[in-house]
Amino acid sequence: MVSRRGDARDGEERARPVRTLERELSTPREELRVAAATRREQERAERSARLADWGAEWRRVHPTVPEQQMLGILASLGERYGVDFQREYKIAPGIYADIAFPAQGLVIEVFGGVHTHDFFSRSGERAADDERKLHLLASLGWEVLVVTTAEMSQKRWAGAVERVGRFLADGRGKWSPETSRRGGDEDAAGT
Amino acid sequence: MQQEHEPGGAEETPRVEGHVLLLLPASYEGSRELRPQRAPIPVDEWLAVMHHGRYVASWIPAGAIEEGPYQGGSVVEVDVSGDRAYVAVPPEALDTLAEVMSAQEYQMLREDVAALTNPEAHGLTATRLDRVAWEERREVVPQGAPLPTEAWAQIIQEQGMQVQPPGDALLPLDSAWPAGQVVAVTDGQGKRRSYFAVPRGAVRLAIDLAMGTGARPSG
Repeated sequence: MVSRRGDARDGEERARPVRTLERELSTPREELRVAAATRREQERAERSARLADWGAEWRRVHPTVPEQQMLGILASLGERYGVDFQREYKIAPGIYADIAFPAQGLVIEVFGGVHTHDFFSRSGERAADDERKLHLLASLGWEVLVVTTAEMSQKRWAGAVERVGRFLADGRGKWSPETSRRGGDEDAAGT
Repeated sequence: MQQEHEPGGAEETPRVEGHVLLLLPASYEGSRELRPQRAPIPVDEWLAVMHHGRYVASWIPAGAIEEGPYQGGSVVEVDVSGDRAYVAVPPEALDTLAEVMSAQEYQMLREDVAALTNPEAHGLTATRLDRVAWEERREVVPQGAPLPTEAWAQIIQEQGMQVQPPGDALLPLDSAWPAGQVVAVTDGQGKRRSYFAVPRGAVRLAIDLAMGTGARPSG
């Protein structure tokens, strides 16, 4: 018995350095595997971000009708595209604002009428997606105004102009470099 | 329903033969992620809605799907009362897009999908542009003979040049490079800068070159 236990212990003792060696060998290999996978994932994400930038550029050149209406409102308020505000502005990787006033940390999101079309928004998931974006913008320190296409109808145009004008005036009044806590990705923004 | 995983991705993208997928727009616009808004929809059902509502599907840049369960398919945009909706169309249903797209955009989409199997952009060319005309007036003035993209990429890699990621230099649809890009290339020291008009089918190559050479985004 003793002898067998002794043999077993001897066996364990002999086996231990082998297992340690295996661990030593496998750890770097595992680390290398993880590092390679992480690198691939980062490259994938960067590539996706570049492709998304291309898409944003396309949207910038091809605004929707409500976005065009908003540009009309901004023009009537004397706001200058490329100087005061940017379109499809990259706030952070993976998030573009419809219209951004980067210097003041203000964003205007323009909503069309997709929510009235059952087929395209049946589950309400789309509204939730919009909400997530708005929360994300707010969490990055941007002040957000949402204007719907219905609010920019001919009948309600003056009200929309006033509302946007007030939002910009209030935002500019409040803003200072010290109070600004917004995030941003201005270097990468296709402005 | 057949469930498949995006390679390397945590999210599941549902895929059913002959069905399209309505996507969550913010996710798609932000990172090209195919996150479903709801369960896949039979192509016929989607087309009926498109016809009934007189909706038009539009081509978008980088709509061709490179990987995952919809690989070889394409995402199209649908303007729904001023909002952008995105629909992932699997490869087996691409033909049906001809019913709801303009002939030109359908052709572009087909070319983009075909270009997925040609990552090195064989058969395409990059055209050097007049630097001053581009920098000062954003005018596209070709200079010299177009260079096959393989040779262009080879020179960039061999000479350690830096390619700036394409951005803010989209070429118009009616140009010689419809929805292509102007790409800046600088020498190893970052001193001499050249500009090239790159066709749509080679923009992914330009992105790969930009990433491979470690160029940083332009402002």
